[in-house]
Amino acid sequence: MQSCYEDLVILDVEAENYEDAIRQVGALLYNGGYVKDTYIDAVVEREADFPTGLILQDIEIAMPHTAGIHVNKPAVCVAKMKHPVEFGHMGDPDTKVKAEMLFMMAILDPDAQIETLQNMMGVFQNSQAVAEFKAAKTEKELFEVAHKYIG
Amino acid sequence: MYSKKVTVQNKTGIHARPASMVVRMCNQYKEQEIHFIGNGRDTNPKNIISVLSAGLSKGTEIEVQVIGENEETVCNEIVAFIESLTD
Repeated sequence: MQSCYEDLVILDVEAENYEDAIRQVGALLYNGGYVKDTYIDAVVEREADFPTGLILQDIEIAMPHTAGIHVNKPAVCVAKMKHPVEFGHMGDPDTKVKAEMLFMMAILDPDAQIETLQNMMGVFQNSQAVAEFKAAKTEKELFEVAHKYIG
Repeated sequence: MYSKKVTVQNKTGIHARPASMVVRMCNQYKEQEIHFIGNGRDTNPKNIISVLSAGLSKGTEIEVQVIGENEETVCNEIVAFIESLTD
């Protein structure tokens, strides 16, 4: 099933904080009709209570998301930050993550969430995949890498 | 080592939010070594990446293994916590 789309990749997002980053990246999902108008606020609220930052061997990321009731069509929006943005860590809210990339997920089917997360963990722990994400210099390249690894 | 089996019951499985809760809980037991055996994997429940990589969906049977002080009590608490997940 396709998760990544050409209108859901963005480079050089300049965000002051995690909320700003979520609002900017979430706007792509909203403008494309993938999510409802309640999605962005719901993601911001969830991120405050249950942060989604992760520190992997080769990259620090965040995977903001929320419940399926705010989603129209499942997708993953892939964003590279101009400067790392501080998120809380998913496993420990006191640990800060300097997220270089956001993988903002619109998940409709709860059963699919586990599979999507599991798949993405495999990607982020794959040094070759991470190197390709980091090397992508245009939105076209970023889309191609995202589509290749995430679907 | 004390171990007990538990089946994931909440409809969305141990995805992001429940996974965070499980990891936070298991990290309170600093002195104990804990394993989740299930889905053909040995998962470290103190590590979020390990938990998210395990794909612990509804219906997955997990053997919770605890090694260390008060291992039976700790194991029962973890099992009860997994059973209490409703999200």
